[in-house]
Amino acid sequence: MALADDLNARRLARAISAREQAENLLEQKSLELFHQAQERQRVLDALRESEERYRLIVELSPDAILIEVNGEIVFTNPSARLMFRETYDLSLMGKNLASLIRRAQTETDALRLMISPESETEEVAIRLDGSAFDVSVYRISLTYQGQPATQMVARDISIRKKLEYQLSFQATHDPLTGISNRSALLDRMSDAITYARRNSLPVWVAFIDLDRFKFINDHYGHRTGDQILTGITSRLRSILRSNDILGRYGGDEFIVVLRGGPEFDMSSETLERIMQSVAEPMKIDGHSLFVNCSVGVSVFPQDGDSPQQLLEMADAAMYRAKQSGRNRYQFFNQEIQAQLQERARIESEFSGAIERGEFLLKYQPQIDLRSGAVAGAEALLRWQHPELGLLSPDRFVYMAEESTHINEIGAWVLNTATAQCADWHKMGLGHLRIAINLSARQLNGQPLIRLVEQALASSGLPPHCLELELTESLMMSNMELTLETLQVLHAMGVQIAIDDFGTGYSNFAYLRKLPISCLKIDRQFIHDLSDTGARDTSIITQDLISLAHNLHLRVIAEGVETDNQLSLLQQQGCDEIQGFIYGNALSPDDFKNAMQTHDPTRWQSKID
Amino acid sequence: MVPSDLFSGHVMKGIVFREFIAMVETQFSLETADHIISASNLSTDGAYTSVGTYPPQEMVDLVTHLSASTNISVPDLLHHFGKHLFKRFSEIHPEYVKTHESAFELLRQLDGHIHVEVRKLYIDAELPAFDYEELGDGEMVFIYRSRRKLADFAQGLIQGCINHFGDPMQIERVNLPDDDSGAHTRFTLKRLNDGTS
Repeated sequence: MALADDLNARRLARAISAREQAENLLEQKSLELFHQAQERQRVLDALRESEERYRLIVELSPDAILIEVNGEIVFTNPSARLMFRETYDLSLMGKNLASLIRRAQTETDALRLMISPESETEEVAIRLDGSAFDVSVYRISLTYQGQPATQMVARDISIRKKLEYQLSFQATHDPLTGISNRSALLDRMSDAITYARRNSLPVWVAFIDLDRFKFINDHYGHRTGDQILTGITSRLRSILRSNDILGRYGGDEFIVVLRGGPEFDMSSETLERIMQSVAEPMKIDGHSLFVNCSVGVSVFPQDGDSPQQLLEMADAAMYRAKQSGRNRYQFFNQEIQAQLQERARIESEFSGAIERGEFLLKYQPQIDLRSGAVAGAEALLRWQHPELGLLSPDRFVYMAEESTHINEIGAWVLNTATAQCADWHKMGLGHLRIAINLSARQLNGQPLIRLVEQALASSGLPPHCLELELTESLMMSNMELTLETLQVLHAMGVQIAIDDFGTGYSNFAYLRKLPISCLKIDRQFIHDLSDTGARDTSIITQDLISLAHNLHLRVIAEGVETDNQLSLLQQQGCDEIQGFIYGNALSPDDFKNAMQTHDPTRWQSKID
Repeated sequence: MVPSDLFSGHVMKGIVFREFIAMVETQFSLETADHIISASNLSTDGAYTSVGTYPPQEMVDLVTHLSASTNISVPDLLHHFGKHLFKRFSEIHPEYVKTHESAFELLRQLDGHIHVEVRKLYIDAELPAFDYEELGDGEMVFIYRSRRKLADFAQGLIQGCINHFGDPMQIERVNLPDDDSGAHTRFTLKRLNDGTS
C-alpha cells in the first residue's frame, strides 16, 4: 500500500509539475500573443492615423485635387469644388479634365509639357459657370482603385497674376495719367526706331512742354494742376493713332512719337492740332483754365538714331521754341545743333574758368528819379570766354547751381563787388550802393552771414551800402531759413531787395514779415509799358509802386529802355530805375570814368 | 501538432513523452512507468506537458531503462512506440490524416513545407530529419538523419502510417555510414501489388 501510495504521490507530483509547466507555457504564450496583438494594434493605429492624415491633407488642401479615370472625373476635394464653383446643379463628377483647363497657353508651355508632361505649368482654368481664372497646374499619372488615372493639382494664382500685371503696369506707366512713363517710353521708342529702320521710314519725336504750368500749380494748387495734366492726356490720346506713342517724360513734359508711313507725313497741321488740343480750355472748379505748350521736334534718322539722342534733340528744339516766345513749335535744325554743341563745350570748360580768372563783373547804374543822381549799381556777372566772348549768366549759372562752384563764384562776386564799391567811396564818387544777386544755393544761413561779414570787413564798405537781391520763389522755397538769415543780415544793416517782383506767387503776408527795403519791378511789366494801349500794365505798375510805398519800400524799375516808360514811371512815383536807356552795363573803368567826367547830361538828360 | 514536429532536431515535443509514458502505464504497468522515470536522469523529473519541448536524449534514456526492465530490445520498443504513436496521432487528429489519400502522400509532407516552418521557428534546428525521393512505380526512398539513433522509432512511425492507410507496402531499411551530419538511415518503400505485407 505504502508503495502504491508513493507511486501515486509521484504520479500526482509529475502531473502537477506538468500542469505548472503547461500553465507557465500558456502564460508565456498568451503574453507573446498579447504583445503581438498590441504590436498589430499599434501598426493598425499608425496606418489609420497615416491614412487619416493623408485624407485630411487632401480634404483640407487649398489646392484643387481632381482625379480622372477613363476621361471622367471620379474624385474631387472640397477646394476643387469651391474653385470650380460646383453647385447643386453643376457637378465636376463625370466631366473631362481637358474641359476645365485651357491647356498650354504659350509655346514655351507647350514645349515644356512635351519635354516633361508632369511639370508644373501656368494655365487658364474654366469654372463650371464659364468664368476663367489663372491656375498653376501639376499633373501626375497614377493608379486609382486599380485603374490608370490622371491626378491634377491646380492652384488658383489669379491674385498673384493680377499683382504681377499691376507691378509691370506700375513699372511702365505714369501713375497720374496712366500713359507710358519715361523708361517704357524709351523702350517703345527703341521698338519704333527698329521697325522704321527696317522699313526705311521716318519717326518723329515731339517734345511737348507746357507753358506757365508752374504758375497754374502755384496759383490753383497741385490738384488742379493734376486735373489739367490728365485732361491734356486724354485729349492727346484722342487725336493720336493707335500705333503712335504717348508718354509723360517729366512734370509738365509729354512726348509724342509719330511713326511715318505711306499714309502719314509730319506737317505743321499735325503739330498745330497737337498744340490746339493741349490749349483747349478746361472747366475746373468753376475756373476756365488753359495752358499753351511749346513743342520741339526731332526726326529719325536725320537727327539721331537712338531714343536718347532724338529726345535730346527734340528737347533742344523745344527750348528754342520757348526762347522764341513760347506757344510755338520748332523743328530741330543745324543752328540748334550748334547751340547744343556750344553748350556742351561751355559745360566742359566751366570748371576751370575761376582759376583762369575768366569771370568779371559789369555794373549797371541805378538812377534816383527825383535827383537824377546815381544812387548805386547792380553788379552783373559775366564770363569772358576766350573764344565765345562775353557770356551772360543765363548761359552758365545753371551749371554753377548744379555744382559746388556756386559758392566759390558767389564769394568771388561778393568780395569783388564790395571792394569795388568801397574803392568808389574812397575816390569820392559818392555814397554809392552796390546790389548783388543771390542764388538759391547761396541762401544757406550761417555760411552766407559769415561771407557777408568778411566781405564788409575786408572792403570796409558800410553795411547799408550793400543790397542783396533775391527772387520771390527763392525766398518762398525755405521761408524759415530765409527769415532767419535775412533778419540777421538786416540787423547788420545790410539791405534786402526782392528781384523780379510781380512774376511769381506774391505772398503779401510774408512780404510784411520779411525785413525788406526794396522791390524791383520785373522788366516784363516795364517792357509792356511801351505799348501805348497797354493801360492794364500801367495800372499794374502803379499798383505795385503804391503797394511798395504803403509798405515803406523803395521801388526800382528794371529794364527801362524808352522815354515813354521813363516818364510814366516818373509820374507813378517810382523811386529808381535801371536799364538800357542809360546804356549797357559798364566795366569798372568805364563806370569810374562816367562818374568822374560827371556828365550830368549822361545821367540826367532824360529826367525832367 | 503534425508528425514532423516529432522529429524537429534536437528538441522533442512533450506530447511524444506523454504518449510514451501513457503507453508504458497501460501496456506494462504503472510501476514500470514510475520505475523507468525514477531511473532516468530527466530534466523535469518525468513531468511532461504536451505543449512543451524536451531533449530527445530523455526518450533514449527512458527506452533504455524500459528495455532493461522488460527484456525487450530497444529497437523493438522504439519500433513499437512509433507504430503506437501514429495510431494515437490518427485518433487525436483524424481531420489531418483524412486530408491525405495515401501513405506516400502523408509521408511526403514530412519534408516539404512542414520542415521549412520548423526551421523558420528554430534557426538552430538540425537539418531536415527526412529527405525523400520518389522513384516512381510505387517506390519511394526516405533518408532519415539523426544523431539520436531514433531510426527504429522513425520506422515504427512509417509502419504505423502504412498500416493506417492499409496500402500493403514493403519497407527496406539500410543503415548508412555516419557523416558530418550524423547517422543516416535509408528506408525504401515499395508498394506491394499482391496484397501481402
